[in-house]
Amino acid sequence: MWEMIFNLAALRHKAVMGPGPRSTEAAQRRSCGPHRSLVPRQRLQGFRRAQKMCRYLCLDEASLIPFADDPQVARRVELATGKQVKAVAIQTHNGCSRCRGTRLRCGPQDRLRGLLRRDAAPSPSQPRASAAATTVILGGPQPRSRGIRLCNCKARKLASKAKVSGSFRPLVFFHSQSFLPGSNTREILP
Amino acid sequence: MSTTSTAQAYNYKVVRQFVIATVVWGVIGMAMGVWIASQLVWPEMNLDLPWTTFGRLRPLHTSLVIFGFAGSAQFAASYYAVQRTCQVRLFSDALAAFTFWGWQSVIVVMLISLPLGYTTTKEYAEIEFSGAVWMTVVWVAYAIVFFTTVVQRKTKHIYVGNWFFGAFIVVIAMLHVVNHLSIPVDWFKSYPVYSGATDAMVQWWYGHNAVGFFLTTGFLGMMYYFVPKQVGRPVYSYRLSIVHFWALITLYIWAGPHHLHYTALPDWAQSLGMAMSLILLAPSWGGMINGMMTLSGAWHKLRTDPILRFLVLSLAFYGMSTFEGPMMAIKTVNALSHYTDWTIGHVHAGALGWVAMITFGSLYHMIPKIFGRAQMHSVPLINLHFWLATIGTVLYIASMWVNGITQGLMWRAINDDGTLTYSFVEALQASHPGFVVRFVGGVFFLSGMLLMAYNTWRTVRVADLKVAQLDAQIA
Repeated sequence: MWEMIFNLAALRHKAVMGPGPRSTEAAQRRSCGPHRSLVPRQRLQGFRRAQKMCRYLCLDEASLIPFADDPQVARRVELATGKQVKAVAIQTHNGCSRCRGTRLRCGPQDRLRGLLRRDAAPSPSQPRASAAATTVILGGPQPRSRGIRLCNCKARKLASKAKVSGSFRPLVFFHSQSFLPGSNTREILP
Repeated sequence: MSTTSTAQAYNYKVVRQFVIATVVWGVIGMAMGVWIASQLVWPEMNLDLPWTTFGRLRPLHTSLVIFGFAGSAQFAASYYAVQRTCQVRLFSDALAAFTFWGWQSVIVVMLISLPLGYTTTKEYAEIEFSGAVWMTVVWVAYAIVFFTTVVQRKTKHIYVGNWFFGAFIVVIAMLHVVNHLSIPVDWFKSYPVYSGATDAMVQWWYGHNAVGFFLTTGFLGMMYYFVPKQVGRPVYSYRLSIVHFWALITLYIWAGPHHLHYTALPDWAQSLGMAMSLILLAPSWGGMINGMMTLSGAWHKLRTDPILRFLVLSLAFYGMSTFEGPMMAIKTVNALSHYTDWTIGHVHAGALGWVAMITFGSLYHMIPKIFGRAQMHSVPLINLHFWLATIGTVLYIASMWVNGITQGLMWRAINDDGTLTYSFVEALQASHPGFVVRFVGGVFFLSGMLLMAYNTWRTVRVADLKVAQLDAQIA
């Protein structure tokens, strides 16, 4: 009898939750930030499970926060743990005079005004936060016409605008996210 | 123009100020403790002056070490860690400076008023009404600085250490205001709005949570930042840190009644306090295990790093005292331990072993960074400080255990006819050797603190603020 009950429970669970994520990477991609929009509605339950898994992964990243602003320690931690200490706030929106990168009381106009002033490439002489931040720099200085740097407040909106106009191509960096292949910035770049 | 041109230095000035204040109040407060310990060995050490009697200096000792030493340490550590984990400069330099000078003025008020006999008579809340109001103003400013910094953070996630600091700030504000609700009759005299058993319950709701939130939660925040930094490993389980945070702050607030076992407090409230204290063991040990296990794969560093030794030993004492506390909260155990020196030993296992040790470790980590040095002036002196502090703590708590159990057993011993076997004075005489050992332990601990003051002074004297400024650049 118990076997029958367990089988029924398993069937119900599958019906409600849907098929699980194919892989951890897929789960992360599906549930992190902008990837939410990529999840089909019919797989909502599976998405919830993936989101839960993502939370665990994100917590793992959160535990590395204390090392993110100390390049030497970050490298040692990366070597010791094999985990990547991600750049924190290295290329976030810091342009407009009103919010100075804090994003408080910062409207779209302010942001654009800031962008006009601060779209130049980062200076190599500036101190960098972490090993992952170096990767950002390796991305190279972006010409003024090509890119702007934004925080992710309205990044997705601007990204969609860019797709429409074709001339406005935002280069979007996310808070607490590294700009690496496979990270969640990939799909939304024009 | 560079996109990182807005990089601004962290506000290390206020951190430096609080670090120095921590060392200064640590020396004065611990010296006061050694002095009153000597009074119990040699009563003539009270100098036959009203201002220097045990009854006036004991609250001064607790106030100086709790608010002066531990409070300043938490200001320093929270300001340092919140900036670095949120990647922003502290909100408002002026308000941060106000919190420093305001907090120091609170301690000075205690330093003057308590020996003069101005006291509410409430343990750990002796500061009179006007001082308490001023303390509230400073605390609100602290809350504004801390939480606005968190709000303005550039990181997506609020690091767990900041959650602990945040809980410490919010709950201490609540406890302080509620316990100090009183009717002033003078600038330095007021009467509480509560009376009788209610007053006692409110006081120990405050008193226990002063330990729980002023001397535990804030220091756990410190632990969650400085232990991973010093070990060079992320915290063992971030999930556990979150679970134990919520469990700890949910449970701690209920455990106060265990201070009032066998009193006029209703029996159900005592039993509730006991039950909550027993459950509290789980989240407390969650933090201890999480801190200890952070050293997984890096235990070898203990051989060479005295700062890490301080941090790990503090966790060991934290685990020990948070086991001892729930055990002492059991009513049958409390029948033996209450009002004896066992309680004093338990408090100091936490205060010396946990609070002071983790403060020492954190300060030794911070001082070179904020003063622009590669390391402290002398690492062997840190090592010597570690052993002096360890031996001092062990002597202190062991002597108090022996004294406490001796006192408890002698007080409860009765003859066949129901009369007391021993008089109080006989129990006091039996305690005298323990008082001597406690004094020696205190001297050891104070000597270590003096070494730290010397080491800090030598490091600060050659401070390179330009290097510190460079190190303080926000990424």
